[in-house]
Amino acid sequence: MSSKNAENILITAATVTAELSKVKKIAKEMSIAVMNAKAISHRAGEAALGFRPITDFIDEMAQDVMQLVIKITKEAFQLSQMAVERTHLVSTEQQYNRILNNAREARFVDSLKPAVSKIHKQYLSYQKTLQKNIIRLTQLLDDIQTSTKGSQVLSTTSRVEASRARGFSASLEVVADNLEQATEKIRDLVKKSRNKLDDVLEILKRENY
Amino acid sequence: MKATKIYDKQYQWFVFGRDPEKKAGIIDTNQYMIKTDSRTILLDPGGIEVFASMLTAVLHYVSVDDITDLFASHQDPDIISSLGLWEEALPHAKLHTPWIWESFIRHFGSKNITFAPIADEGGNLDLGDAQLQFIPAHYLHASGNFHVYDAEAKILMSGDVGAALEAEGAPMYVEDFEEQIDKMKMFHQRWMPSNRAKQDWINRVRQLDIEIMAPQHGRLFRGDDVKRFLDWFEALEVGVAIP
Repeated sequence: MSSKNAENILITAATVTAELSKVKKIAKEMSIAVMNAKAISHRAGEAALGFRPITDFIDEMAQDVMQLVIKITKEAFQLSQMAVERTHLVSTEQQYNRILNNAREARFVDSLKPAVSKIHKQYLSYQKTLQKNIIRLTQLLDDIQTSTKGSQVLSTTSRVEASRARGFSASLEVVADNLEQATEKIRDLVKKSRNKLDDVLEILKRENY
Repeated sequence: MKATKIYDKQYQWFVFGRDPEKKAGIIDTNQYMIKTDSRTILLDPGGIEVFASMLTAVLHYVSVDDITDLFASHQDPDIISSLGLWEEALPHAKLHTPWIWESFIRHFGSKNITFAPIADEGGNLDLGDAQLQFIPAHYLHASGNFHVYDAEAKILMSGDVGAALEAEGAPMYVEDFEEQIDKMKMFHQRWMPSNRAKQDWINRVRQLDIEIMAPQHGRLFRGDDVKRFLDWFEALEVGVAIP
């Protein structure tokens, strides 16, 4: 395990955590936009009858995403902590191996071997836990992608229904546009995080330990 | 790292320092070890940067299983930032340190080690053949600070008191006290904040029988140079950085 790889994992964990906090913010904004759309639909009365159930769907989607992000944030925080601990273990193991090499003539060098073996076992244990954590995270990210999968259909339907809401069409079309942009941003951020985690999994697999 | 035995009777005192592998820009430090038949203590075992050299040097004299105690005079990184690394090899060792620094020192990657906090008034440590006293040296320079005195060996490990900023590879002992002053003056005037604390320490230390005064940086003082140092330090105005 190189220090460079350890650093990459550490940086990825921190970046993914930061990126996913943006997803939560967008989902929150979506939820607020839905409340606004519900108010407009109510004022529009009969003309916006078709739009009202759509707002319920959007709201449900935003709530699902927020709930998933809460779970993801917890997992990502654990990933960051684990990555820090693992970086420490990598550096410790390197230092101890250097000592074993430099002190090979020393009378008591063998007394260090149990400690080196213990550090290596700890490292392997972290390696496994880290992999499991990343897999759990990627599954949660996939859940977000699934939750937002119907968003394009939803925004098309929103536009059709918005155009029928005489006098309120413009306001509801803005809601439909915002929905489309927000879900695109979420899907994009999640995809990027997913790719980064896939890279980390690759690094972990490649490591010939 | 160079190892020098400074006392060798029923038990031994060692000083480790002058590390040729030390990175540029890092202050050179003296680490101490007292080895008895049953126990070994490392005094101010050093920073992360010297850990590998220090442990390599130690393994020539003692098994890691025999290192039972660590002592940190205060919380500075050059004193004890290596703690998290030592812990991996010494899971059963105790760390003796001023009580006020325990929660700060834990920031140095410490997870498992047992802390043995030293009360403000000091204390004793029984190492079998060696009996050590923790001598209060608060505000010299840290607000919680101890030195280690061994009455049998007549050695005072004096932490930052007596420290000097030396050139690479300087000798282990002071050879000419007058020449040493230039290397010590700024360090003591700037790092030591309190004339009152300084005088309290001098009064306390003058009552001890000291053959070797062993600071954490620079050279060790022997024989009459110990008294010369105390006289010089007593006359020195410290805490001079206040405009």
